[in-house]
Parts: sequence; structure tokens; C-alpha cells
Amino acid sequence: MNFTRKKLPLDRAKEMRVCPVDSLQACVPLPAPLYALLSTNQKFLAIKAPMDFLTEDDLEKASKFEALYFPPFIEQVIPYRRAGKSALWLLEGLKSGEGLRPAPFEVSDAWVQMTAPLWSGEGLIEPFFVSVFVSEVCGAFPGDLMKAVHDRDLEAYEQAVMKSSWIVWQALHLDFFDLDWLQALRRGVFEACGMGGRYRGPDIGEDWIRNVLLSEMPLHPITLTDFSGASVRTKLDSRMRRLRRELIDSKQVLPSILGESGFLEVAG
Amino acid sequence: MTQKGSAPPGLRSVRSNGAAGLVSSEGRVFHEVFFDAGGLGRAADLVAARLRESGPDEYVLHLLILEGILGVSRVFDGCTPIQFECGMDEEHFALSFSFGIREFSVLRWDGISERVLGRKPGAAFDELLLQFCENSKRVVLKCDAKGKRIEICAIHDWGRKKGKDLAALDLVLFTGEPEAAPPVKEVTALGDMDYSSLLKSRSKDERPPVTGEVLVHGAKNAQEMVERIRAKKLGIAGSDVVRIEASKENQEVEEQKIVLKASEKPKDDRPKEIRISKSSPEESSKKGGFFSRLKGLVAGKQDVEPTRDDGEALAPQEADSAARLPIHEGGDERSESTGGDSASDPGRSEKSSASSKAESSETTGDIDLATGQLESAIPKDALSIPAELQSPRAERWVDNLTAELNAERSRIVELSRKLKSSFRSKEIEFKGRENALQQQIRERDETLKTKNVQINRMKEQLAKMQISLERSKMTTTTEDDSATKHKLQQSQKLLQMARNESDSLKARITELQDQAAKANEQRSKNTVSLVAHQELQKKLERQAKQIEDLKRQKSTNPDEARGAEAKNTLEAAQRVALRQKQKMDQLELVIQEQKVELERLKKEVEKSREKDPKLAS
Repeated sequence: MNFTRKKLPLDRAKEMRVCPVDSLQACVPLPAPLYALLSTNQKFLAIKAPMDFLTEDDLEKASKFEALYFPPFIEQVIPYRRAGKSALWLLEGLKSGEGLRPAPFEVSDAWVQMTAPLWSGEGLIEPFFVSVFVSEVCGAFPGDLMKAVHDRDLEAYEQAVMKSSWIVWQALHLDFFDLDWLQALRRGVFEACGMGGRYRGPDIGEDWIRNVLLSEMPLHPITLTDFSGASVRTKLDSRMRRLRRELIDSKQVLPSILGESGFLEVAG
Repeated sequence: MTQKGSAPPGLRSVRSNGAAGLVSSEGRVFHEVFFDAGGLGRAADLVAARLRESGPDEYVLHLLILEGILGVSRVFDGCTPIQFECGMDEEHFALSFSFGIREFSVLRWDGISERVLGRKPGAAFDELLLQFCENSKRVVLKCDAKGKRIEICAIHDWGRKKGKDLAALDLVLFTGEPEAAPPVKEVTALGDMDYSSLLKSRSKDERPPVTGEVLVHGAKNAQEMVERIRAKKLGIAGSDVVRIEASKENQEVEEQKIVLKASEKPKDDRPKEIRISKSSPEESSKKGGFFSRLKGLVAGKQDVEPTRDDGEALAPQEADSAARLPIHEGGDERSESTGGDSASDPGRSEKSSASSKAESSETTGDIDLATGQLESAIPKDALSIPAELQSPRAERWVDNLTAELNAERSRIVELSRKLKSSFRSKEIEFKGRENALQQQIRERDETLKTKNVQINRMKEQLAKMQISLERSKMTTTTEDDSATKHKLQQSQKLLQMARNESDSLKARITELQDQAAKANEQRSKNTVSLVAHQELQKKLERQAKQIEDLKRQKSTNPDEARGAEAKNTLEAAQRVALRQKQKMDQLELVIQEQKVELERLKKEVEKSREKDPKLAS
């Protein structure tokens, strides 16, 4: 992903967040730009863009650094990662079948309550944050697939990550609470978008898939019904209304990748 | 039976997925997704609870939901998720089970209606449909061969189905994409319902059995215990009605207290207590009738001491605040006004006591003076009061009082009616205002939202532009390395050399151009001499012609003088011609030399141009 501030002066060190190299995983999309400290140049240099990923070789090369660094933007991403972990815990609990399982409607209600703080007061969310959330829920794609799509077309790779995440996000709001099924859906959309060709994931309605695949996912905030099919729009709209009516705090401020607090600086 | 596209009568749309097309536009749709049978029973309970008000056959409802999910999972292995929808309107409810299958062609579609309706199922799927047909009013089977999806919709009237007739089976084959579901009043996920209260509502109506419950908690003495048992028998909650407590100290009744509690919780959360001081029956009979005596007991300022519920006396400050409670103040006023006259005028005292009773009931609000519970608190001599009330005077007084009360009651009713109507009109007015304001807010929100989206788009575009700008900057800055500098220096050197060379060439060219100019000058001079040469030649030709003419004349005129003269002239002309011829030969030689020189100069210029193409341009 293109981003501004690829080099940061050393005096920004007080704002930077440490990321130990051994905590990084290969082929996992990064939630923020990743910087390395060049001691001779007295500068932080971005080695990976947000949504990019580290390969095994990259990790080996990075091991010569003591640590890598995230900008303060990472603070905005953390709530989404935490919520993603909670959602994963919920879905894994359903999958394991241990104890008395909650009813589907209880899971649905829990899901909505869990994710309500992730929306802005206006009921909007940026697709980038959705991709961070879904990466936590569904895990990483196979490394080969990631590399193939990335090497083929960088822009298509980013779109594939965002589109596959968005459709999973919508499916979760429509009560599709099955981790394997969601992973298959995500992979299907990622492959179709990144590598071209037909969508080969689970059946969820042709119009919905078509709308997601043929649209360009923007970076600005969108609402739940955007890029959905006619078959599911009414249901998503109903859910969004409940979120706005009961659960979303209208004063909630939207975190953004744009502007000073984000990584895409906007002039003026 | 088999249809392609058109909706069966009474249904809005069958070419759309889900239950929305099967109910009216005022209908409601509830939906859920099932990946397995976990929590299915509770989901069916929730649907039944939601539909309960409309009075469905709950047995059939549960049966259809369970059969729909479990039956489909059993017949089509790996067809999950099953998307379940329940639609309802005033006439009926519809259940829809939509699922995808791997192999669409394995199902025997030909003659499926005949097999099912003839009760001759050929496969498990036929049996499933038969089950639906047996328990529904109508079954719609939607088949999307392209999308490999099947949807079974069971439509059922409210109430119990009579008879065991099979429902009509409509088979709808989708040739293209399904239509968008028609709008309904409400679409809700089961998880968005208030399921806790819906599932609780049934148990709320049923009072739990009292078997095994402790009869009386914490009674201090036998009398209290009796009262509590009585209250329990009557089903009266102690906090809602009059509770009478009697406290005894040293086995003697020192004081009796009546604890009056309004049904509404008092602001200070303390029960309003009136402690009735012990008084002998004789004293009581002296004070007049029962009501006045009771009021006198209640209102006696010195006798009334506020206490806590547990019988403990309040602190002086608390006692003051308790004394300021309306019930106590009312009691005080009444005791002051009626206390003295009650003995002298029994009728008046009765009237005042009755009115004070009415007043006291007004001030105490919803206090239920359950006479059965008061019995224990009433002195035994008070039982003689009904005899006094039978006198004609008392009867007149009672009639007057009743008339007054009725008039007052009708006035109050009229007032309350007016109040209600004005309240209602105000309510409607406020509701209208509220709606208008909400509409305005909604519109503003919408505009705000669109503006925000526009701003965000602009921001994004700006960001992209900035990135491209930075990228271009980056490309320019990367060229500023040492190799480029070296290259630049070399290029500059080469340029200098080329400049020097071109300067020398320029000097050479100027020299040559000067030479060429000189040559041209000479050539122009030669051109002048050529013109003179041509004139001379013409002159010579004329003179030759004259000579010829003279020769001809000589041959025709033999005059000798003329001959000699002509001879001289001819000789002179021949001499002139010879001179001119010599001059001309000289000039021709000069011209030849100049031509050779010019050719040489031209060649030199050509050579210098070939050496430096820049100079040529």
C-alpha cells in the first residue's frame, strides 16, 4: 500500500512502538507500516507497507535488527485486533462443541454487541480496519498464494485482501458463524480477486459476490450495506439500524488511516 | 402444480429468495442461519414466542422448524448452512429453508408433485416434502439450477389445521437470477430480538408453586405471626397493603401501631408509621363515635411518635422530618379542629370524624384499609358504634354526605375526563412535533453523512495525489548520486571540447566565407568584363557585316577612290577587331582561373560542413 512518511527522523523515536522480530509471523498482512532503525543514517526507514507481509527471507534478514518499530498509528489498530481475537474465541468455542452451546441467536446478539464499538458514531468503518479484524479471525492465507497474488499485481493484492475481508465481515453480520465456512469464503474471494478467474468459494448469492468482485474497495469509511447484493441488503440494513439505535455510541470517533493520525497524510 | 415464475394466488412473489415474497407488504420476517442443529430447539422456542400473540399452532410450528432444519441436514449431507426465514402477516406465517446442494441433477424432479401428493415418495427428499405437505396449507419448492440452491417454503394459516389433507405443492424453477425480495414492514435477525424477555414472558404469567415455602419469616411474637399468616392466606404482600404490627413489652400492650404503606414507594423509602398510644376503652368512648375516636387516636399530637418499621423510635431530627409527612400533619390539623367539640356534639363529631376519614383516605393515597386486618387494632367497645348510626339523624347525615360525595365524585370524574382529553391532545401535538424534529434530524444526518463521504473521498484523492507527487520526487532525488555527477562532469567536458572545436570551425568558416566573398566580388567584376566583351563581340560582328556590305558595294561600284578609302577603313576595322579579340582571349583566361578558384573554395566549404554537422545547420 502506498503511504506517506517512508522515512522518519530519529527524534520520532519517542512515539515509535517496539515490535520484537520474533513476534512477527510470515505471510500475515501487517496492520501498520513497519520501520527499521538505521543507526548510521539516524533515521527510521519503512521496510514494509501496511497490508504488506513478511516472507521467511524477510524475517531472516530482519533478525539482524534488534527490533522493528510501528508508528503510533498501531494504537488505533489494537482495538480491532483485540475484537478479532474475541470473535475468534467465540467461533472456536462454537466449533469445539464443548459444554452447552449457545443458541444461534445468542451468538448473533453477542457478535453484534462485541463489534458495536468498532463502528464510528455514524455507523461507518474503514475497510482497512475490517481487514485487520478479519485477519485476526480467519488467520493467514497460505504463503504461496499470498506471494503469487502479491507478485502478480500489488494493487490487486491489496484489493483482494480488503474485498475478502469485507465479505467475511458482512457474512458475520448475517449470522454465518462457522470458522471453516468463513475461511473458505475469504479464500474464494481472495483468489478470484487476486488471481482472476471464477469465484470457487461457498455459495452465498451470485449478486453479492459479483458486487464485491467488480467494485473497487475504497480507503474511506463505508457502511455495512455497501458492496452487498440485493438478496442480503435488507437484512444488513436491519442489523445496521439496530446497531445505530441501540449499540453504537453516537459520539464514537472513527479511527482513520487518513490524516495525521493515520499513515496516509492528506495535504490541507 | 409446477410453475415457472408466476406467483401462486395470494403470494406476492415466488421468484425471490426467502419468505418476504410469501407475506404481505405489512408482514414481518425473522431470519437465522444454521450450520448444525445446536440451539435449534431454543431458536424454535423463540420463533414460537414471537408468533404467540398471533396464535399459531405451536406444535406444527415446532415440528416444521425442526423438520426443516434436521430433515434437510439428513437428506442433503453437507448442504449447510441452512438459511432459515420466518415470515408472518395477518393471514398466515411462512417458513423458508434455503440451502445449497452439490449435485443438482441427482434429484428426480420429474413427477415430484405426483409422487408427493399421491403419497408415494420415491426418495428421502420426497418424504421430506410429504411431511411438509401434511402439516402446511401450501408448500412452495424453489429450485435454482444455476446457483445449485433449493428452498422449501411452508405456508400455514394461523390456528390449528383441520383435517389431514395434503397441501398444494408449487414447484418454481428459476431460469435466471432470483428477483430481489419485495419489501416488508420489518426484517429482523433472531439475535436482534429481545429474546430474553420473549422467552421469559410465558413463565412470568405462571406463579411458581408455593410448596415448601417458609410460612412466616422473622415474626417477633404470636400476634405478629398470626397477622402474617393471615396476610399470606389472603395473598397480600406485606409491602403493598396495610400491615398491622403490635409490639409488646413485658407481656403487656403498651402501644399499638398501625403501619400504613402506600402502594407507591415513598420518597424517603421509610414506611409512614402512626403509633397509636395505649388508651383505655373508657377514654375512647368519651371522645364520641368510632371514626372520631379513631381519628382522635390517630391525630393526638402528643400521642403520635414516628418510629421505624422495626418499632424503634426515630432520632429527634428524623422524628421531625417524619412528623412533617402529610399524613401526620393532616392528623394534627384534624385533631385540633375536632378534638374539643367531639364530646359536646356527637353528631357533628361523627360528621367531622367521617369527613376526617375521607380526608385521611385522600391523604394516604392508595391505602387499603382492609377491615379484616384492622380488627385486631380496634378496641372492643367500638363494636357498639353501628347502633348509634341507625338513628334518623345519622341516616340523614349519611345521605347528605353520600350526595355530597357523589357530586364531588362526578366533578372529579369530569375534571379527570377533561384532563385526559387535554393530555391526549397535548400528547398528539408533542408526538407530531417529535416526529417532525426526528425527520429533520434524520435529514440532517443524511446530508451530514453524504458530506462526510464526499470529504473522505476528497481526502483519499488528495492522499493519492500526494503519494504520486512524493513518488515523482523520489525518482528525481535518486539521480543525485556520485555516478550521475561524474557523468555530468564528463558530459560538460565533452561539451566544452565540442564548443572549442565548433569555435575553430566557425573561424575557419568565416575565413572561407571571406574568401568566397572576395571571389564573388571578382566574379562580379568578371561578369562586367564579360558584358563588355559581349558588346565588343557584337561591335565586331557589326563591323564584319559592314565590311561584307562594303565588299558587296565594291563589287557592284568600281569607284577606285571609294575603294581605297574603304580599304583603309577595312584595315582599321580589322585592326580594331584584332585588338578586341586579344582582349577577349585575355578575359576568357581570367574567367577560367576564377572558376577554378571558386570550385576549390566550394569544395573546402563542403569539407568543413561534413566535419561538423551542427555548423551545417
